[in-house]
Parts: sequence; C-alpha cells; structure tokens
Amino acid sequence: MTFITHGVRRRAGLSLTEVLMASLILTAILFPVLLMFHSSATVAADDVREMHAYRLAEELVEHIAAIHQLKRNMGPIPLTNDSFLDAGLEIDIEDLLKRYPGEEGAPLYSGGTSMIGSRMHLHPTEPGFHRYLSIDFQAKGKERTFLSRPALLGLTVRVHYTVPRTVDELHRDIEISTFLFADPMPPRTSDDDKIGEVSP
Amino acid sequence: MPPSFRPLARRGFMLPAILILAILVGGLAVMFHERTRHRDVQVKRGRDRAIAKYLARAGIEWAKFSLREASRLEAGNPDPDLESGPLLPFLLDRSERIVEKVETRTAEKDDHRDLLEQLVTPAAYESLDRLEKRHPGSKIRLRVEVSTTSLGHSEVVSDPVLKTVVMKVTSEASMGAVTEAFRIEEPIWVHSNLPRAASRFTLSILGNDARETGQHRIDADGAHVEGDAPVVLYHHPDDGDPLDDEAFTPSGVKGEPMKVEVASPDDLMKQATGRGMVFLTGSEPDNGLPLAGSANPFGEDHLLGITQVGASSAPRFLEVMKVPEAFGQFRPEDPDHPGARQAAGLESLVTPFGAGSSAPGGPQLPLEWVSRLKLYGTPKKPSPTVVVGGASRLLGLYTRVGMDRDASDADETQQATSGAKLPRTEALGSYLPPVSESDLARVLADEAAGRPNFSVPAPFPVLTVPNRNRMADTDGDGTPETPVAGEEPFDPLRPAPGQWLWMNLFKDPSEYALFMSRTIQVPANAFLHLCRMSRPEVLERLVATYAGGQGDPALEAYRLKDPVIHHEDSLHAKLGKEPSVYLDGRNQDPSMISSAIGDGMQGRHPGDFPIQVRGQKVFEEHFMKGGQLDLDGLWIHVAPEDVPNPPPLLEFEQKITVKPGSGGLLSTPLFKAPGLTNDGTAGGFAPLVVQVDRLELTDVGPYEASFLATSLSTNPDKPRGVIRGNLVTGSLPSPLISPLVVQYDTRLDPTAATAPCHYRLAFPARSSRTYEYLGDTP
Repeated sequence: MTFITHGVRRRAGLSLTEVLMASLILTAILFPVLLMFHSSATVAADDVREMHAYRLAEELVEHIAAIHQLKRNMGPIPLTNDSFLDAGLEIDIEDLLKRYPGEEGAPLYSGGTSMIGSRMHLHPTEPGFHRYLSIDFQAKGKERTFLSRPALLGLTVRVHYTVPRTVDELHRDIEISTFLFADPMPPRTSDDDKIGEVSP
Repeated sequence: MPPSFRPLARRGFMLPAILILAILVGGLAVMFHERTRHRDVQVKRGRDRAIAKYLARAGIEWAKFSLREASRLEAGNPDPDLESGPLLPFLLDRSERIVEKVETRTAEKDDHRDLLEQLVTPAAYESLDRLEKRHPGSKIRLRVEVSTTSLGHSEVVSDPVLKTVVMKVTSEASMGAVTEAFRIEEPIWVHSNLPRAASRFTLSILGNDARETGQHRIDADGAHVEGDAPVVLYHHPDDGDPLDDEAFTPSGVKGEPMKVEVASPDDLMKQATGRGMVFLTGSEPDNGLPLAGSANPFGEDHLLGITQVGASSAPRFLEVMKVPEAFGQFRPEDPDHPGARQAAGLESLVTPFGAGSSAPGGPQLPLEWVSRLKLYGTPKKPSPTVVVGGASRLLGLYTRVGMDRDASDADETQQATSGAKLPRTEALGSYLPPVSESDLARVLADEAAGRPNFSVPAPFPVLTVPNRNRMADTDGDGTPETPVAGEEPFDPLRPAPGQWLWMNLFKDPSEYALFMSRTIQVPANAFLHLCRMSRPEVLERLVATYAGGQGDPALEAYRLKDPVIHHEDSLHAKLGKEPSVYLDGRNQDPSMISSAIGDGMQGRHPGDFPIQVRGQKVFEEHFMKGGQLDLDGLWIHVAPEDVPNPPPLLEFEQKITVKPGSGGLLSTPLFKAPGLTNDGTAGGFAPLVVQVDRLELTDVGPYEASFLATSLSTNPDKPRGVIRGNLVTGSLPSPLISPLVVQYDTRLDPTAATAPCHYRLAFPARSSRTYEYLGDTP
C-alpha cells in the first residue's frame, strides 16, 4: 500500500510480524468454529439416525398394538404358563423378516389363524438399524373359567442403530415401552359359528 | 534507522480489520452453535415425546386393567366399606356421595395415586413403577374424575345402589421437558347379579288368562283323573324343605310321596288346617279372584304381591303392599266416620266374627280381620303359607307381624334381645292380643285347657270347603254319586275354628317376640270395604278399579299408592332408609309392571350381551366341564344346531348341579331335567336365571333357580315339582295334574341381608369408551 505524505513517497505495508499475528488470531478463532462444524455434522447425522430409529420403534409398537386390538390378547403367549421361554425374551425382528423373503412384512406368530391375524407390514430391513421386540406379563388378572384370563402385557421395542464416522462408527440403542390391556374374551373354535359373541 | 514498529500514527488498520473479521466469524460461530443446539434440543424433545406418549398410553392401559381387576375386589361382602374400601364397595355408595368422596380426596392434587391405591390396591401400582424405572427421568401421573347417571333400567324400578358411574382417567407422562397426556372416559355399571325386582315375587303369572277350572274328578279308587292340582307357595325363608313336608304326605310321614287323591286343594286344605295353616283362598275356583273376601295377600315384611284378575291376555290386577311406618296403620277405618281410625280394642279383636259388634247402620264388618295378620305356620313347624286352590290362583303371601304396643322401649328391647327386627316407629297402640308375656302365658294356658279365646271367624264364607273327595263319579256322567271310603262325610268342609290357637302359633313368649316383631302394611281398609260386598260385586269393582274402568272411589282411596320394597341389608341401612326398589303402582298399565318383572329377571346391566352356543354338545363342552353347570356369570344363549331337524335342547337325564359361585343367565328354547341344584350361601352363592320357552320339570326337583318361562309342565307321574327360587311364567299348565310348588329362596332376595354380596361392576364394550389425546406440553 502506498501513501503519499508531504510529497514524499513512503512505503507502507504489513510487516511479517503483523501477518503472523493476524494468522494466529484467525487460526485461534476459526479452529473451534471448524470443530463446531465438524461436531455439528456428526451430531446431525446421529440425530437423523436416532429419529429414524424412533420412527421404526413407533411403527413396530403400533403394529403390535393393532394386532393386540384385533386379537384382544397375545394369543400364542400362554396366559397361564410362566415358564414359557419366549415370553419376555427379545424377538429379533430383522431375523423374522428374513424368514419371509420377498414377502411384504411378516407375521408375528406362526401357524394357524394366529399367523393370518398377526402380519406386520413393517419397514424393510435397513442397514444400520436392528429392531428387537419383547412382550411379557406385567400383571395377570384373576382366573376365569370360560373367558380368557385378563392380563396387562408389557411391550418393549428396542432399536439398535449405528452412526458411521470417518474412521469408525457409533453404536446406539433407543427403547420405547408401553402396556397393553388384554381383555377377556371367549374362546373360539375352528367353527366360529358355534361359539362367540353375538353382539358386544 | 533500524527497523522498528511504526509509530501508532503511521500504523495501518490491519489489526482492527482482523479483529473485526474475527468478531464476525465468532458471531457466525455462535449463531451456528445456537442453531445446532436448538436442533439438538428438538431432536431430544422428539425422543422424549415418543417415550412420554407411550408411557401415557401405558397409564391408560394400566387403568383399564386395574379397574377391571378391582371390580371383583371385596365381592361377596355383606357389609361393604363404602368409605375406605376398594373400587366395588366404593361405588356402592350413593351417587352424590361418590362424587363428593373423589373430589375431597383429589382436591388440588396433581397425582391421584392415593385414591387409586385405595381403589385398585397399592400392589397394582408395581407394574407402573417398574415402567417408570425403565425410563429414568420419566413420571406417570394419573388423575380421576367421576360422574354418575342412572343405570338405564325401566323407570318403574329405582335403587340407590344401581347406577352408572362414568370414570374419567387422565394419564399424564413426563419425560424430560415433555409431557404427553391421554384420557379415557369409561362408564362402569353398578348392578346386582340377583334377578332384579321380580325375585321378591315367588310366583308371577304374566299374560295368562285366569282360568275358571279347578274342578276335580276322582275315580272310584280315589285316583285323580282330571282337574287342577294345587299351586303351593312357600313364602318363608324358614320354611322347611317341600320335598319333606308332611303336608304332601297322606299320613304325615316324612318323605312319603303324596298320593294323587290327596293332591286336591280340598284335601290339602283339610290337612293344613289341622296343622294351623291358613288359606288365603278358598277352594271355589269360580272366577280366579283370590283377593275378594277370601284372600288377604299379606306380604312378608317388605314383600309385594302381584296378582291378576279377569280373563285377559294381560295381567289385569296389580296390588301391592308396603311396610308400614307403624303397626297401627292397620287399624280399620270407621265406616261412619271416613278418615277416622276406629277405636278397635281388645274386645272387638278377640270376638269372633258374627258375635261381636256390628257397624251401626251397615253390614257387619269383620273388624278382627286385621288380626289375621298372623297368617303363617307355626315356628315349630314352618309350613306352606298358602295353598292356592286353583292353578290360576296364584298369590298368597303371609307375614310376620310387627308389634309395638306403646311409646316405651319395652317391645323394642324384648325383640332386640330375641334377635328380631325392631319396628320402625312407635305404633298407635296395641292391636293384637295378647301382647304381654303374662297375657300370652294366660291365653296359652286357657287354650291348653280347651278354652280358646281367639279364633278364626268361622262364618266367613270362603273358609267353607267343598268336599269333592267325598263322592266320586264312577259312571262318568259328570255327577259324583259314589261315596269314597275314608273321606270325610261332610260337605262342605269347614276348617275348625278351634285350630286357630295361639298355641299353634307360638310355643312361648320368645317365639312370640321373634315372630311378632315384623311389620307390614296391607290395604286393610280396602279389604274391609270389599268384604261388605258380594263376590261378583267385588270382582266387578276390582276389575273396574284396577283395569282402567270406572273405578270404585272408595277402593281407589284405600289403595296403597306408593308401594315400596324396603331392603333389610346393611348396605341399604348405610344408604338410608329411603325406598330402594320402587314399583310404581300408580301406573295402571299392567304391561309396565309385566315388563319390569320380565326385564328384571333377565337384565343385569345395559351392556350385558349373550354368548351364543349352537347345540347341546358344544354347550356341554364349554359350560359343563366336569358335569357341573359353570356359566361363570355370563349370559349364555343356546341355539339349535344349524342342521335339518336339530335335536331339542337342553335335555338332561340326570340332575344338574351348578358349580358353586358360578351362576349366570342361561337362555334356551327348552330346559328339561329331573332337578337343578345350586349350592352355596351369601357370597359363595351365585344366582342362576333360566330364561326358557318351555320348562319341563320331569321329576320332583328341586329346581334351584329363577325361571322366566313362557310355559312349563310338571310330570304327572311324579307327586310334585318343586321350584326353589322364583317363577315368572306366561301361563300355568292346563290342567295341572301334579302340584307345582314354588318355594321362596332367601338367597335370591335382593332385599335380604346377603344382597350386598351380589353387587358387581360391569364394563362396556370398547365402542362405548371414549379415548382422547390431550396433546403435549413442551
């Protein structure tokens, strides 16, 4: 930069020292900003995947609730056998979906009318997300002789998801829990005309 | 000049420019950070919202489950705790009191856990607590509001216990800074498993024409060949087993079956009279009118009676009685001074009809009529209280009469110490002699010495009994002409007034105190009014008054217009002494009463629905496991199999037993069995109601249930058919060859001490619930 003073052309400019000082200051300022950007980008990716995990979990909970509303209980889970192995254990939903390749969704239960009435049209398996379902008895109602026994079922959906990073990936879990009231209902035979509700 | 920093005045503005740039960059960084933080907060809030939403829904599901489970807590308690008991007794309280209790307990509280722990037990909260722990930082709060409405039964029946309680449960769950809330609004029906209304009536015949038969024909061997057998009603909880009653045996030997020839009303009456029994109707079945001049349908305590008159397809005559405030209300009205109670004293009461004073200027009034309130078998020998001569003559009730002689506490004390119920208020004065212990002892002594000083008014025409057993029609020309050996030679028979003795009523003063401590109101003046008339005239007046014609003003004035049934159980005692079950006798539309009785037998709560079963095999498979009838409190409707010519159902070769504590409502086209037993007492007993098109009693029985039968039959080859419970039917068999016995069962009495054991709560179907999302509060 040239300044003219009193007719004398004098040299004006930045000294090396000033440049160095300015660079240092800018570096000091921009570095944390850069870190913040990096961190934010990472968190944003994490948030997106976490929210997606919750959406998957909610979808599964709603499907189970819908099946429960239809069946009024969790039929294949025996109401009287506390030692039933699957009760309370986690069901691997992705593994379940694999058993029905090419099909739209998968039934929660296998065999008989339970299978038909329990098909879940779930989001297909997605890399980095793994769904687990567990159903257990939180409380059992008083025994009825003819009607099914009422129960309060505990429903928990856990979704394991990963957040990929530059050099590695994060592993996280989210979980949603709720209850379902299993209403007593009469048994049904293979011929539903024989016994059942006439009008609720 | 050595290099040096330039003087300040010569410096450039690089440094300020850098600093300004740094500030701008820093500002941008801060803005970016804030936006990132905001997004992070929103993401976190979204996560919390998802968790809180499902926790709040869990609270709703928990409430539905817990309320239903609590609905069975303390069932079977005859003395429920209305204040601090769980849900069922809590809701048995009066409507306004329930609302008040809830408001008091929940005022200014964010979480109504205290109240809910009382209603559903603290243990029920364990599952909810576990759920909270699974999500650290979460909190579930439940709040309760209640309102009440009527149960929706027919307007002719009301009861402070029966109601609909609308319970609003709000479930609010917090997670982090987010709160989600749902609310459920659910009606809960408070009802009784006991057949409502009708169960106080042992026998009701709806829609039946009053038949004018009752003639009996007996062959030369004394065998009954045609005509009606009697309908016998046992109306006393202490009555013995009709199966063993000596009245049904010709020789009085217990267990010996009654022979056909003694099944006639005449013979039964003769036998019963000898035992001190009293008939409420004579044996002249001329017009099916049991009331006029002959019957005196006294109720037991708070019992109502319903009967009919006339040949109609609908019940025509309805008469009801209620418990009086005082025994003195029985005092007849002075015919010369309407509205004034006659000063009937001891003398007029003990003087047999015809020998006492007569009403000046008018027909002789049987003033002692009211003294016949002692119409029941002896305490020593509980007996059929009524023998109805014709099958169409349906009603006879009797009572234990209350006694309160003065304003002192003497009678109350005496009755209290004997375990008897106290009169409600002081009476106007003594009415039944003797009233003191010494008087009673004296009278008993006189009677033992053959000096009866109180007897039935013998000349009363209804108590003459045609002796149709005396002669038999052997040639079939319709006229009995052959004397029957062994039969009384007299015709008509007259029940011996001498049998009407205090000693036949009470063995000692303690029994007197016990049995005379009950109160009842009867339309005595109406009876007295009618007694002055001829039978056809009485019939005409009654039909006119009660069937909507040009009524008799005097009779109308004498009618009891506010009949009520008073409960005697502890629950209603707590709720106050107000009328509980109410049948509106002022409405003269008999169909309403008829409907009330029919509905009361069948209806339990508005949401009751039948579970349909097709065929007897499927029915037995599901509801008769182990050979016992086990309806589990449900309403089971059995329909024929869907095949050509389905077999009739239900038919049983063996006697049926009901699984103790497992009653219900069974509706079926046919119920045919040799017997039906339902054991258990108080809370261990569950009533069974059988709604059937045709009821066939193929053996003696007993049949322990409430029957709502369109038609029924007894087995002519059996000495009788005994229903222990109550029977509402459209018609009686014609002819009724084998006697039909209906015995009052105190376990089915909705006003009895054990009645609170049978209250239950019922919940509606899902469609009746309202489910509401109240939103989130960030």
